Amino acid sequence: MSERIRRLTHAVAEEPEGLAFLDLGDALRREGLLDAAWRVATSGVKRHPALPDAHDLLARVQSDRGHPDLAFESWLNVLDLDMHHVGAHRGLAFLYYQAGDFARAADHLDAALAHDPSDEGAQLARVRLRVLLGEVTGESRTAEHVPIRPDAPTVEMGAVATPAPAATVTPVAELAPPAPTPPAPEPPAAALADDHTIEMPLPTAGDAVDAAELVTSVAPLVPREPIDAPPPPPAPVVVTEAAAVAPPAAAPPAAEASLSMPAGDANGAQLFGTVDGSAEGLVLFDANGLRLGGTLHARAGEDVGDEVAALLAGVAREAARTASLLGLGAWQALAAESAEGTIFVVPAGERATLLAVGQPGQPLGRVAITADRAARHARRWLEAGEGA
Amino acid sequence: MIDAAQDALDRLTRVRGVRGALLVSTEDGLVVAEAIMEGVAAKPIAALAASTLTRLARAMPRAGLRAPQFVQLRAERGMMLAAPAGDDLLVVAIADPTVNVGLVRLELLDVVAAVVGR
Repeated sequence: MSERIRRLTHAVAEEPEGLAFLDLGDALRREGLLDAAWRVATSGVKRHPALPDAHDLLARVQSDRGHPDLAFESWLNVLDLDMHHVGAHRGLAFLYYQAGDFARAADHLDAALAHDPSDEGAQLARVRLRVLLGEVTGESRTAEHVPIRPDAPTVEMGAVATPAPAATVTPVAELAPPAPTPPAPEPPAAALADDHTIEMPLPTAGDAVDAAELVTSVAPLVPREPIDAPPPPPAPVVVTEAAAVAPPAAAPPAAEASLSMPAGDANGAQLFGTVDGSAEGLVLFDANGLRLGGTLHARAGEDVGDEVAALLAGVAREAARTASLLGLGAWQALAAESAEGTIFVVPAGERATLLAVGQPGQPLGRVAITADRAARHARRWLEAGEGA
Repeated sequence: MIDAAQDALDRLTRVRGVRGALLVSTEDGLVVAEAIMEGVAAKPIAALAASTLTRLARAMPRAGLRAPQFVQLRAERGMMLAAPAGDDLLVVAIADPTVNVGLVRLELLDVVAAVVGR
């Protein structure tokens, strides 16, 4: 037993109600003392049932012990308590990845990145998934392995062939407790190494990808073994002792690259194509909540466009995620009505969102038309800026 | 209250094109009652719906409007409709793109009435 574990054990004994159990449980887990880690984690969850990190610790331990179903449950518990918990999204992404459900894995990585854009591991893993999902095209290549290291969420991929579109996503359990997961296309075996590195052969077939894109990746994901629980991993995965994670090759994609905009009027007809050149009640903003154009005046007369854009910054992401979880495809609009009027939020390209505020008495349909038209113009305006 | 809400949710799902309905706690995004089709991920949907409503409820007053009474998320292959029921709850319906939105909206308001006990 390491000195660190001794010290943490002492800290927990001195203050059983404290949060030192989080570090202790994790330290035990990392040293492979999984039974002890499990006892610490379950006891922590009992003491702190509303603490997301306690459930996250339990999920990691369960995953390490080879019970992805229990890990899945625990990570869902985390999201019930904190829907933005990055660790839980990374964990769920890993489980979905293991199960061959790359689309849902991507959803969770997106959620993790939305709240921690600096997470390079998640960025690289997302690049890999983009390839697997056919979002990136390139030359054909052969399937290889994707090692995923639990803690240092690193996914390393060699050359990979993306699965054929139809086989890309295997309907795994929704975000519901994983029933024995249906195997993903051509599921490779799975095994877990002592050093917790997991190597997964990727499915072969279909379109190929550029090698450079595949050379590396990191994914935070973390699995291992359970306790007194149910069925084993749904994973179509093979975990082996393969350890070393290869040096990341591909650079992570710029998360939210700043938008380049054309010169000119950002507040009138040029941006929104409005008949009278007015952009009153129309605000274009980026994913970080920064206003790109338009104006919005409160009743007192002051321009509140910046504030409202900031407050609505996450709405587009949430709308996209909700639509994705529901299997509804891309989101098209979000409308909200109140007694005094309506707001309409629509995507304007990949990285911008347009807000239209209807005046009192203005029918929703009319606001929708205005918003759609303005978004089309804004999209062109932004494209012109990017092409300039 | 929950029984009445559950009945109302069941009624809501009988509208053609409605795939499921949820009663969600606005504060923490947890599912309070549900009548939902198998395969619909109730928990994350509830959490996201609550979060979206909270954002809108914060932003709209700054734009000179009161908090939303009805919210509609439209996507390629369907939509999510929601209406707050009092300060603490939110009624959510998931529907196909061809659903009669007006009818769903009326049923949603019925659920709201059942929940707030009017």
